[in-house]
Amino acid sequence: MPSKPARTPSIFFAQRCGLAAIAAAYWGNTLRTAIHPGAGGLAAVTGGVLQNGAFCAAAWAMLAALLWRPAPAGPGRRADLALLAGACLVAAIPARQAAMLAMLLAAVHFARIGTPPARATMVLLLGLALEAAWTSAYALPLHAAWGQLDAAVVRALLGAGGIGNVVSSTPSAFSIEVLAPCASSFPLGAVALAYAVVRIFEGALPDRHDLPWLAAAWLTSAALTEGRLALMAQDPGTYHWLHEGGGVTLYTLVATAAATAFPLLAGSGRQCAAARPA
Amino acid sequence: MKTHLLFAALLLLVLATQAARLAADAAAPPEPDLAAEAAAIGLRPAGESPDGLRLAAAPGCPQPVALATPTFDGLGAPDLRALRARGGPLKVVYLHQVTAAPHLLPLVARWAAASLRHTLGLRRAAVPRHYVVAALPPGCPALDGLDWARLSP
Repeated sequence: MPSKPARTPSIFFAQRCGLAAIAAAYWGNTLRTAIHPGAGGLAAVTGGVLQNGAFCAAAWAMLAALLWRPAPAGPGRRADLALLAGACLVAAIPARQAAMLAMLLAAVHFARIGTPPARATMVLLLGLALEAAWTSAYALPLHAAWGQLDAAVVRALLGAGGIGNVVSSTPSAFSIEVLAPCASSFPLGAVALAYAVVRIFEGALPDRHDLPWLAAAWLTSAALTEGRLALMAQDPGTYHWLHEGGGVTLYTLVATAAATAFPLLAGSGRQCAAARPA
Repeated sequence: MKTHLLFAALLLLVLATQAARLAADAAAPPEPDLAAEAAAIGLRPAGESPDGLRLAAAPGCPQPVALATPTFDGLGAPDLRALRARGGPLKVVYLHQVTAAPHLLPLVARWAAASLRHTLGLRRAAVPRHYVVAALPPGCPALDGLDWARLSP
């Protein structure tokens, strides 16, 4: 069976430039929506990066590390270069949707290359593109509808009143409205990306055996969100603490720990299974 | 060598377009302010209802029109329910189209299509994420003849 052609120095340079271009498109669009008009500077940029999510930054760091390897010698393929050039041209359109499409095209490029680092790069690019799409404005109506389910669950947990996306706490006469970014579906894209990042960091590619662990990570994330909503519905003080106070940091730490735990458990489970005598 | 030059040029192109976009002021979607648009079709502000809806007095109609501006991310959903609970005819206004019922799917489809046109540069103004719903009082058929499309965000 003929082996896949190794990457040439030319294609390796092209991949580095291509990833840099797509990263510029991704972070340019991210910072444009995160930074308010008139507020620039390093603090605003840093805040924009952090607001986008630690695992997104980690994924890009891993992409840089994957491509910071010496290039092997051998023939490349013109079609692969053309695909990557097309991704760069799409990335030149200063819109978030273009950055998503550029990441998808680049993922196809790396899928065609087929080496283990290329497959890992493909998985990370797919994860970033899907996370961006999942949290884009086009998905807001879906998350808004999901928020109504969350509100129903929280009302059942608390024995509270309300209808639709509203939870009305009877003792304190305080109500919250579950909007799209507050729904438990909203962070699921980031949870999936975190799963992929941790598995690739361990040196493995996610496969179908990871699906139950990913499902568990999603369920845990949804449960954490609904627990947070239930607490926020109690009274205005708790709401503000969990929505914009110190409680945000606590919730983020717990959610990050949970998102990291499941891929680690999946990896250790595989190692134990491999170590068991046949 | 040609490949190196091509991809270096593509990288510079992306950096330039992103920097230009960052430097330019973002065109923010218009804020919901119905007062001027409502006045243009003869509706005068008449305070708020007990359930928090904006009210507007209509010419030749003893009961006021109730107005709300729900968004696609779920904000204003209680107002929409309150408008429906009034039982009268509704006017749903978005992107200069008027319908009689707030079915979400067609509204979202119009919003997505307009957003795509805006992304491709075919639509200049940013696309608003809110739409206008007016609950007409029963027994005032003259209100049907108003140019409700003027309330479009």
